[in-house]
Amino acid sequence: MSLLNALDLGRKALAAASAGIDVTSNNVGNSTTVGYSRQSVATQASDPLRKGAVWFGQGVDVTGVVRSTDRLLGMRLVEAAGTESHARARLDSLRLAETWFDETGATGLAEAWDELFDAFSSLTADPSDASLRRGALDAGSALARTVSRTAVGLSRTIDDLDAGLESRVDEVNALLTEVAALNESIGRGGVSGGPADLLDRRDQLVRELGESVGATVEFAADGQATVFLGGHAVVSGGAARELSLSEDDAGDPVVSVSMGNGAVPLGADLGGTLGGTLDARATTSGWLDQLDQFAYDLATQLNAQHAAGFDATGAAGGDFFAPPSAVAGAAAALALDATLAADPDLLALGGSATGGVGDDTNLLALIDFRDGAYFDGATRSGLDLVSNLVSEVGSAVASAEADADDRAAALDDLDAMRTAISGVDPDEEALKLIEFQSAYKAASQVITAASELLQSLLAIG
Amino acid sequence: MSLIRATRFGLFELLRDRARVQQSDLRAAQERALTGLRINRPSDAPTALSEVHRLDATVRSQQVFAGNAGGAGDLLAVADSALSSVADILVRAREIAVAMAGDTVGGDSRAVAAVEVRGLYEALRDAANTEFGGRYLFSGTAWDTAPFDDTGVYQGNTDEPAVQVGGDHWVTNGFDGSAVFAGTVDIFAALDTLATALESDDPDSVSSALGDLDAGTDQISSWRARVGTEQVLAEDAQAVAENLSSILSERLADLAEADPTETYLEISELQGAYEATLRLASTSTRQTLFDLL
Repeated sequence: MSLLNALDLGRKALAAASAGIDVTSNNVGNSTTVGYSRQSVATQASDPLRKGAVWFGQGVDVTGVVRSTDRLLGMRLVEAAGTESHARARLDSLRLAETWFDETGATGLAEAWDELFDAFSSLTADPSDASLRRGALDAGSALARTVSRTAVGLSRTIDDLDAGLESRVDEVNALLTEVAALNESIGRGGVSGGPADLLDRRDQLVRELGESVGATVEFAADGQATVFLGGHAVVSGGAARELSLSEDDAGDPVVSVSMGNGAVPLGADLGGTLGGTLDARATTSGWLDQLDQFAYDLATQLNAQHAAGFDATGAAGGDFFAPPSAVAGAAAALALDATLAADPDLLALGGSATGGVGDDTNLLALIDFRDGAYFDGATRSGLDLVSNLVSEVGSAVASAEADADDRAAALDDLDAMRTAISGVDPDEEALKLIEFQSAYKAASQVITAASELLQSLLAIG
Repeated sequence: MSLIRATRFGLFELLRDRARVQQSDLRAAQERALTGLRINRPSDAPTALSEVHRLDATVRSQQVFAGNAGGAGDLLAVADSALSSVADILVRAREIAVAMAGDTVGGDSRAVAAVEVRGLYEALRDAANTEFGGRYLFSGTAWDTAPFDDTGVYQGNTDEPAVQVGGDHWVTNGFDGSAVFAGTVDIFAALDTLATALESDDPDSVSSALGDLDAGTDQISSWRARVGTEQVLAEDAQAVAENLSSILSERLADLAEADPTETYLEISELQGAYEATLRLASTSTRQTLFDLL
């Protein structure tokens, strides 16, 4: 062995220690970077050299910088992030819809329903009383306003949810393109898994895809990520498919993935924030449909009964509510008949033209609507239907909340596991720094010693 | 044995997640304290909310029924009073008939008595046309029309108005005057017959008028009993509705309202836990190995 070789060994040791300090510094710098995985320097002893019968070590080689990750955990995290985002988006959207059901205040549907029929009941004391008649009309108007306000609010919520869809799809397409580009860059990095920082960045984007649309991922041993959506590979290597937004015949939004020359609707396969939002939109739309059917049945049937009676002037009754033209939109358009609203004498409470001012025959028939099965195909009462709808809204939000909490807890657990494996700990990095500093000093000493010996030899010469 | 690698930032994540949940719980408890309600939106208690709706609807209905029953009770009391005065009129008419039926009574006395009976006839019409709150009690459902005109002819109808005092309970609060005053016996006709007999100084006719007067008295007694029955029904209905309303209101308060003591204790407990989390977070940042290098 020569002194020059000792110098070279010292240089390699110095390089390895220096690389360790660099990587440690990088870890400390990125300790709070989202998606960052702690890195370490991979080293190995250099190939030994044989001199005669003896093998001599040739120092250390830096073979790479590796991430501390768990491939399976990474895949589970993407999936869990998707289900958590789906549950959270569904909850947030349903909460928006729930705000239109002010059932704990004085302006809820059930309250308004009761007020109308309480007003009718009060009228039995004196059907001719002008203030009681006006009270019944006011109560009818209040019920119509409450139904209409709730329906308009639900429609607005649906519009609000729709408004964000296009930009979300654009964001997802940008993510898909970026993941594919990173895959390509990583592929060019060689078979060792590519540059750790690019891998982290790509994995973070894949997670965001999980959060956005419920995408799942498979990581290959060479570091490539294949992203799936509804069973379709939407990113494979450096190629990405595109999502598109359209409307079906009913005007509901449909998200599709491009396939060849066509597009395949993703339907229930869509997860993440986009899937959760669409899910909540469908639920909200269902509530609006129920409210429309309720308003339609209420208006048409109460109108028919009201028309069967006779008003204070002895004339046949007219409409109580403005007649709806169709089920769709009936709730938003519900209003007291304008002619009736202007003249309480037109309230048709009597059973005949000559029944007298106390004739309440038709009033009793109107009161029967309170508990009678006139709704939902003559199977349920109006109050039953309203209570069930409100209960359905409450249950849906409560269940979405529990689901979101469960999913968040599951994701937190997985994140904690990831942090345990990939997270940067300052104390640990400080210890490594001390270790690499020591190694650096030792290598410097080796070089100094070899250099001094070399100087001594040169002095002899 | 495998050890889970604990990192300082892992602890921060744990603290952040915990603090988020605690903040959410604290906010919910504070909302309950501020509104005084256990249920502030349907999702707070979907099942209980249905019960709250049901109870609230029942309480409000019972309040309406109690008001209706109270109003009916007032009308029936006035009707009973009117019938009572009619009974008095008939008693006085009978006294006159008995006194004037004798052969020893002179024509002048009968003439004076006839004037009194004509007065009783007017009093009867006034009683039959009793009105309360702008409403005639004996016109059937045509209560805006005086039941009897000057000649004692009925102007109302035969339908009896009723007021709702329970889910399926009704109390009659007006009557068919033709049945009350001109049913089996026409009381107006009976008084008119008596007055005419007195004016005619006809003791036999005066005597024969007694039969209709007695039958009229029985008729009025029978209707007073009917009115009394309706009064009892109205009073019972009012008592039941008020009692039910009171009991259900308490149950409603139990379900819908937040217990202040319980809520404030809960807030205190949650605040304590949240502060403990924040304290732990602050101590976790105090020192690292880097500080010692």
